[in-house]
Amino acid sequence: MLHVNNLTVTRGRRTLLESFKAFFEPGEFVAIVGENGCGKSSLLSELSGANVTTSSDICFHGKPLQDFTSSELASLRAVMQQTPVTPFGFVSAEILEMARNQITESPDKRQQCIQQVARWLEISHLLTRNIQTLSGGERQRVFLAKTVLQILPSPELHSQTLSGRMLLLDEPTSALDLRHQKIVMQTLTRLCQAGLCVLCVSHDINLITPYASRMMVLGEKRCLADAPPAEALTANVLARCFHTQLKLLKNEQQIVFVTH
Amino acid sequence: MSTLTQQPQAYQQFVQARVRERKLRAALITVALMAAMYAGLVSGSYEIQLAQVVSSMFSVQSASDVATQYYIVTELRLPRVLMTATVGAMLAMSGCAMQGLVRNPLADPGLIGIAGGAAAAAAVSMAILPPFIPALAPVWVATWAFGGALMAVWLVVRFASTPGGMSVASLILAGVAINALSGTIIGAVSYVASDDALRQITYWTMGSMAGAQWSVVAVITGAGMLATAGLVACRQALNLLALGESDAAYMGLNVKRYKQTILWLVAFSVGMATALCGIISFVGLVVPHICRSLFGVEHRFLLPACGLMGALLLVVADTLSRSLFPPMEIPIGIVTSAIGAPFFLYLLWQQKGRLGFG
Repeated sequence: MLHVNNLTVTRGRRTLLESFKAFFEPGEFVAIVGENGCGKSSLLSELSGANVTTSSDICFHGKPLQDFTSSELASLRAVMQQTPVTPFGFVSAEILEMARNQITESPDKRQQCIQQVARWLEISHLLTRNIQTLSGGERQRVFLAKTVLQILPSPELHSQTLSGRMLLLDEPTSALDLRHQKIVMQTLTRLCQAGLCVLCVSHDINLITPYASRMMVLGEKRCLADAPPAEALTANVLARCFHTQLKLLKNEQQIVFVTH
Repeated sequence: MSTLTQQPQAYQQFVQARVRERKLRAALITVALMAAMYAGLVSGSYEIQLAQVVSSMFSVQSASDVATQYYIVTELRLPRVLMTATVGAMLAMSGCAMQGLVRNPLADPGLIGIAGGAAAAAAVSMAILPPFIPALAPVWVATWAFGGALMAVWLVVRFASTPGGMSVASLILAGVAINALSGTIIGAVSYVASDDALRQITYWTMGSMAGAQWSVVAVITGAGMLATAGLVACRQALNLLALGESDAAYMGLNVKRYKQTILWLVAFSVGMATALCGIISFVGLVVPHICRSLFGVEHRFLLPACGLMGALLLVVADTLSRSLFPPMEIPIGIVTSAIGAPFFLYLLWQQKGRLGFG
């Protein structure tokens, strides 16, 4: 679905990633991890197609990314940024409605979609609140809901509902408590089962490992490992990525956990 | 589970109540605007009995006193009130659009130098480069003012743009610089200008609605309708831009095109208003702020509400400027600044500490 044939990511004069190659298919839940400043967010930004550079060769649905208009892209992929920008006191529901900007639909259906996503992420009680008075975690859930709503065609999920669509998330759980972390991860898993491809940047390796179908470890200007989490997370890879010694634990379901 | 099933209803009720509330408030403001326009017609240095004037329209002969009143109403006050309302609406809506665009409620078109740029260019055209055909003077000055406004917008946006978006601190600092530059240009022009042009410039830097004639009203109403249609068409874009330029692009907005359109429309509105009525500052700052607290921040409601409220505020200010100390007329720019400057200080006080991060 999304094929990165050759991508070099630079920020200023620094090269963050060199001749990066990857492909992403429907239904995948890909975790992207790596140390601070290694280019995770920049990679997401390149993959979003918002600022495609000339040195990239990325195809989305078989078509070069730079040939898409922003409105074509908006119906196929949604991006959640690390820090939401909220200079004005919008009501949460107004922000969620903006996500449906590209979609022509009846007001009833729009409300059903909003209510459905609000139920998934437990923000129904926040819909009438001013976004500026929400806590960081509440705001993060509202913006995640906004991101999901942008590419959700109908309130009911079937096996192929979201096939061909993509979510790019930049640390969507950084402000959440344990219960809401779990809710978010379970919701994302459910969306992946409906065919969605999720790319999620996170520093919380232990949170994402049980849910991710694939893990990409970035470091040394390239992808150090790209495999299911249990295979990707090795002492060697982690040491090269984070430049420190880390211990690996395995639970009875063979899920790997990283600790100091 | 009960809370989950109740919440959609509670939400629907909230939305309905909000719509009802907004409609009621818009209706109240419209009524107030009508009342203010009526007050604008009858009050001033010459007392008007509007009933007599209206009845005189249907009678062949009337007393000379009523004829004077008729002349004052139809040739002086009616065009003036209409022009004031239009200019108020234009300034308030462009303020609202500018604030949405740069994501800060402190961005007033006057404050960030757009009106200053328009004024400087217009002063140059009035004193140094008069048109070859004197009859074209108003259009000539308006064109220059529009050019000056565009130039100022371009400069301000260039200086304030950073890779991460528009920086508010540099926006306001750029505005300070451009205002200073405009002041210098106006000062230099005044120094070499003829007495006649000088009086015109001085009068005009303080803002005045005295130039209202039906021909001017026709021009400004046309411009106002164009600008209103344009800005209202950008309402959803302004909503998306309020979440940041990159988020707006991710959500499918052609950011570059809408940004340019909005800047052109703001420059056009402010340039036209400044060309015809001089510098009237702070309307674009005060009105959107009041309207946000009454109508919420959604631009679909906020923009038209700003139009109504801006018209109301400026008509009230103009009526005050004519009737406080008759027969003297306080320049309207001084009235709006007297209200707006303390208000700006208050907003600054509220935003203290947050400014640097905007």
